[in-house]
Amino acid sequence: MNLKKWWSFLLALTFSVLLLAACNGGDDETGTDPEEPADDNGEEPADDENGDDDGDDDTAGEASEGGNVNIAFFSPPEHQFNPIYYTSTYDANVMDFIFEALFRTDDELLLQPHLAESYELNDDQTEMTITLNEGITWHDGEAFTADDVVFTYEMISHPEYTGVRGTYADKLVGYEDFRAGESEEFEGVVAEDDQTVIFRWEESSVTPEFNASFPIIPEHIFGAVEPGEIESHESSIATGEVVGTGPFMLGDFVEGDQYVLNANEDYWNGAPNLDTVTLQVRDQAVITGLLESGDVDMVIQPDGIVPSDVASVEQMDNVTLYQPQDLGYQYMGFKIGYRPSEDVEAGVIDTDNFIENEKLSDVRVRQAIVHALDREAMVGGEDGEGGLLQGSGQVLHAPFPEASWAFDENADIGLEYDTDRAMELLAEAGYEDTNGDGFVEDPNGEEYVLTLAYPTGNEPRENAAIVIEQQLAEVGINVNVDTPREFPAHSEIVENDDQSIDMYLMGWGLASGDPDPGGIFTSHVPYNYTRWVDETSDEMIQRGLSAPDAFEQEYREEVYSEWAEYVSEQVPYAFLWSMINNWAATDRVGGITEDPVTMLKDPHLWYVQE
Amino acid sequence: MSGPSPGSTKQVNTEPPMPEAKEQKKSYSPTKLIVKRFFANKLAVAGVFMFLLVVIFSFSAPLFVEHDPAQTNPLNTYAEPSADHWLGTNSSGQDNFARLVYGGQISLQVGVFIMLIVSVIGVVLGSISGYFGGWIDSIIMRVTDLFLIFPFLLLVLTVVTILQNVNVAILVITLGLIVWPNITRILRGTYLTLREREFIYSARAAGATDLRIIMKHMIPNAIGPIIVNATIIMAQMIILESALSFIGFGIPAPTPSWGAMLNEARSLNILTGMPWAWMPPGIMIVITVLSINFIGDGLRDAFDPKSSRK
Repeated sequence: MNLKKWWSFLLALTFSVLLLAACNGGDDETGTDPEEPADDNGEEPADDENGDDDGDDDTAGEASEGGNVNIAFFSPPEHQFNPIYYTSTYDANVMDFIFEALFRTDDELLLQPHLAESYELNDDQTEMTITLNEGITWHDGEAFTADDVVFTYEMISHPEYTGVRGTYADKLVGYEDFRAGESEEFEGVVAEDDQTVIFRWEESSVTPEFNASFPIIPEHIFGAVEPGEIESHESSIATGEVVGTGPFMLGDFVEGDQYVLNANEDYWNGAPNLDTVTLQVRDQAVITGLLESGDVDMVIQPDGIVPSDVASVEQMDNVTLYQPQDLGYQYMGFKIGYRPSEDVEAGVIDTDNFIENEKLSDVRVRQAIVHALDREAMVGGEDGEGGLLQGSGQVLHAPFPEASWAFDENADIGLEYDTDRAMELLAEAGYEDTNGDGFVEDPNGEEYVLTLAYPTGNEPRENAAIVIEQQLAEVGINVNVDTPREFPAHSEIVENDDQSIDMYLMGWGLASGDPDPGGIFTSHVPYNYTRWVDETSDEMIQRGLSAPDAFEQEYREEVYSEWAEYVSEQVPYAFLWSMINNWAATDRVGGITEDPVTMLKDPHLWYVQE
Repeated sequence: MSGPSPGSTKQVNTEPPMPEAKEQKKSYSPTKLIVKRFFANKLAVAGVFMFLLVVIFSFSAPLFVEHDPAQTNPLNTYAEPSADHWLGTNSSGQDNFARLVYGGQISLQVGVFIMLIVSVIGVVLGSISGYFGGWIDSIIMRVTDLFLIFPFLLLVLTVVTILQNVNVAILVITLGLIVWPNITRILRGTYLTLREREFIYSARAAGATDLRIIMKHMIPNAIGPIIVNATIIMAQMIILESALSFIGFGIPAPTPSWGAMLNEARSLNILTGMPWAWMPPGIMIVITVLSINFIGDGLRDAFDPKSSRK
């Protein structure tokens, strides 16, 4: 009896604790995730595809109309629901329902027309003429036209634009002049008539479909807004004001907790079966429990379920796992330079102004750090034994995971786990322990401490922070680990070059099949968070896209393989791992389209079966 | 609580009630009475015993724990209990048993030090407020109101978030500075009644200074509420520290903490499949807090003559 009491007391304690966690899930916590500014290059317009090719809607007989589907992921969005300004994958999860692009990837990662009906390229691929689908309307009923496309590309090229998406437009004819404000007309994108738009590039474009695949924003809304104010305009952030062409519209939300999306009954590809979709931000550790209890119907990108719970989920009869190899990856970035605070305020990226971080500017130090990391151990065995990932992933040496065609399985690149080599390199660079405290001092004999920042949310990544600290201590590098921050706060200090951090953990979620690393690694792009300036690398990246050679995938594979080797030796990042995703859905949801990069394709086809 | 102060002795001796001497034995001094009443309370004695066990268990850790509680081992995560890892390992490969033992040190330190800080602040401010009254009382009481109207947990979370890089010292000081108003108010109330008692009047008539009256006459007579509230606060703070660590706002990893160990049990897999990882810290929290509460109850009964004979 007594014992029984004890047990029930314990149980009660446990549950109240669980409840607490559940309520807080979103905001406080801990948690977070990995994530990453989504993409790099790719964005992800996912939404529907031309549903035509796969048979449009309902495949399923017992689709019941209406209902709601609850979807969970683990870090809060940054609350920027405008495709031209958002940076995080969590915002992308919301926007995937709302915005669409002219092209989107199919299940083989090839870009296919989406808002576009068809397109033609001229022979040297400098000009692409796109015909748009008819009958597409914005959420507010206005017709979608070629002018919206032109407007979108003008906005990401505008002199006042401070976002990170300029790489979609920067090879178009007249970009430089337009960006500098010297020309009113943007010759690179022209509306021929309402249904026809023409893209023109300075040089042959190797990836024309990709360059034309940026999500389109409505001109009739933002045309009246000063370009500099679009980011904070209510149509970029507020319920009922965010207007796209997608199958769902942004409804009520509780910031950092849940986001309700309402069906767009006039969706051009067919009205959604569901009434609403509710996106919930939940601590990764509790998501599995919510899935089992039925509080959550789907667990989506990034990453999905925590690897240690996969075995439990496999046991659940009513849950299906979707486990494509991720195109993205996790890494530890080295802040090799910082933008001066004036540039941060002005939203300028000027490589000449970067302030060097002397603690990490010596490449031997960065190499030593990579040599000191036992990444194999972090990933764990293939059998699911051990590791932070329980084997759900692979060690990475360059930003091309196995799922990418640029991944070269024969390449012998990367710096192996070798603590002796690490210490040798440190000594060569002049870092030695001169005062006998067990940690190296810098070449001037000053104390040497590296600060590592990491976000909450992604459990393996959170655990990795302490592992990294201890592995670096083994070779004598003193790491000060910052208390983890929520993802939006973390991402802000990284993007805005907070000089108190030297290293940071983050990930990239790449939704495009094209491996061009230019959007992240070119010296002058905003996503070059490490502020790594390297002409050799820039030149190689450019070579990978230079026509006519680059029309051949084999040529590009060679270039990228060479570049991968270079980047793995220069180590702007310590690449950590690439996940095998662990997305999941219960049987309650039908009509899900399987896709290698997203769970959110064609949500208008989803239905609820009770 | 060492021997009766002159003030209270005088009070007891001058007021005639005790020497009724129904008993043959000679009467006890107030301190002895308190001790006697305390040890007559079985739960309280059990509490002392359990608490001592927890203290010894936690602080003798280096003698019998081989593993460093902070040392991660990515190759050996989620291990089951074995001869080497008595309670298995957690998601970072840290030894659960070492974390359990060393985590106890953190919890106890947090509890004791916050209790000390709060008691000092509470006694000083409560004394001033209750003894002097007037405008200084108003000011102090409005400040306590200010603290008390904030939702407590929210205030703590906000402060901890702003501070970043929390360690034990910072956490203790922060919580101490947030928690003091309750005990201050209670002491003020005690002082308000004490202030009107005859022995205070007589001390004052005899020319004692305010400081002397507070130190020699009032504090000894308020020692009961002080000690009782201190123990309650200690128990509360141990729970609070665990709660903060549980939701990720406590002392950051890799420092071990019971709350952080419980945190791992949010994962369904660990909750259902690895009870050895989260049950021991849960049980330790319960034992520690219960024992302190038993002690506190025992002390309250012992100090309060009205509840002494049941």
